[in-house]
Amino acid sequence: METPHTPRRATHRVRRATAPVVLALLTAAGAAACGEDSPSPSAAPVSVQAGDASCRVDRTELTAGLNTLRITNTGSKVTEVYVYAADGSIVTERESIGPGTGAEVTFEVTPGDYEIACKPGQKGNGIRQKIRVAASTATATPGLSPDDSQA
Amino acid sequence: MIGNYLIGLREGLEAALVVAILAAYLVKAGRPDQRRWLAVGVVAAIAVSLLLGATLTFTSRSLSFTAQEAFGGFASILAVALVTWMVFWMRRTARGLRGELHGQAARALAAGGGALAVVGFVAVGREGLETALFLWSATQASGTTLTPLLGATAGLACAAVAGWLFYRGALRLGLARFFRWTGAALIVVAAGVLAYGVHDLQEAGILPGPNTLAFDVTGAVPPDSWYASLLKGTIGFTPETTWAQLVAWAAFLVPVLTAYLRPEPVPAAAPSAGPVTSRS
Repeated sequence: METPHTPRRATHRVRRATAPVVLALLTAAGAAACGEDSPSPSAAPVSVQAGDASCRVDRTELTAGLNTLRITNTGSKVTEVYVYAADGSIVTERESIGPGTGAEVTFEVTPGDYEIACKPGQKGNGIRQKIRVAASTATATPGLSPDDSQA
Repeated sequence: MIGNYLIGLREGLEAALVVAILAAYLVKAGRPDQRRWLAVGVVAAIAVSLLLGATLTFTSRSLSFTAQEAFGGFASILAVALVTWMVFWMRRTARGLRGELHGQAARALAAGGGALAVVGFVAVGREGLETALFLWSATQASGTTLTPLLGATAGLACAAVAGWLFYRGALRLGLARFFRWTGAALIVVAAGVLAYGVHDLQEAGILPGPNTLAFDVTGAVPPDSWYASLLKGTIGFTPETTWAQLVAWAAFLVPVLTAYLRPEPVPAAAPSAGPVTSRS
């Protein structure tokens, strides 16, 4: 049974090498991705109470850098929470937050205007809350009021 | 309870269906022993996802949103490529099977164990982290209320059962009908996975147009309804679909399905040795 061996053997070898290489690449990508040992944000988490028709954010002034949203789904529908930048791009998000559960999302922001959007029912533009991120005052002394921060 | 149940069902179906069809394929192609490689990949994906999910939920470590979406997007596209390759390759190597594989086909299938593990890993792992995070938050809430965790695990369990039933049902089909219809089903499912991957890359900012919708039928098909969950879990249909998703879905489905359903050319010359006639 004469069949052209060379092309088959070449593809066979490539196929053999591909699998472990792909697996290694995937693992490496995963490891690199979760290798972010980010320091805990210095500011307290922003509490987001996401209901069926409401999106309550406990503060709207954030500091640039790492921030955490502590989300609680207080409604009966599955919800999602997004943080949008001024240009509409997504800074971070958490989908599939089931009723009765919560999630903590850590993200990094630069100074500017943003919006937190709660999307009960996982659709539409959501209920939005405007937030403002101010430049971090690294030299700020605790206890002083932020009168000297830039507008 | 129902909200968490539907998420579990949807996430579970998305993985279970692909794995079930691939496992049935291996049996029908005459290599049931290769199912263990598929299982290796699946188990690895579940373990890695649960571990990573737990780390992100219970410690202060965080994963950048872009990295998460990029992984989901690229892994989904990889899954589509691998599954498509497998569907065509298995059909080709299974044709002419009289119970045993000969020569190169047998060797290729044996060496494909690693590839099968990768397929299993990617099919489950592409959304594994998202599902794990959902499961861990339900677990976290169980300090206060058990309902989310019960709903979530019930949904996942039902998806596993559905996958099992699909697997058994597919095995009962005759060989020709099996390869035709199950292969076609897998291609349709893969198209949905591709659309999902495109959306993830759009959210990560790697592809443009995350808000440019081709259609929005959330009024008729609310995303949290049971029919929306089933549609998303099987063929990857989302009530809000962007243009890039729709184009990618169609650009993949139409040519690939056409190529797959086209009747195979009859193989030339009998394999038995015969005198070679020279022509002058």
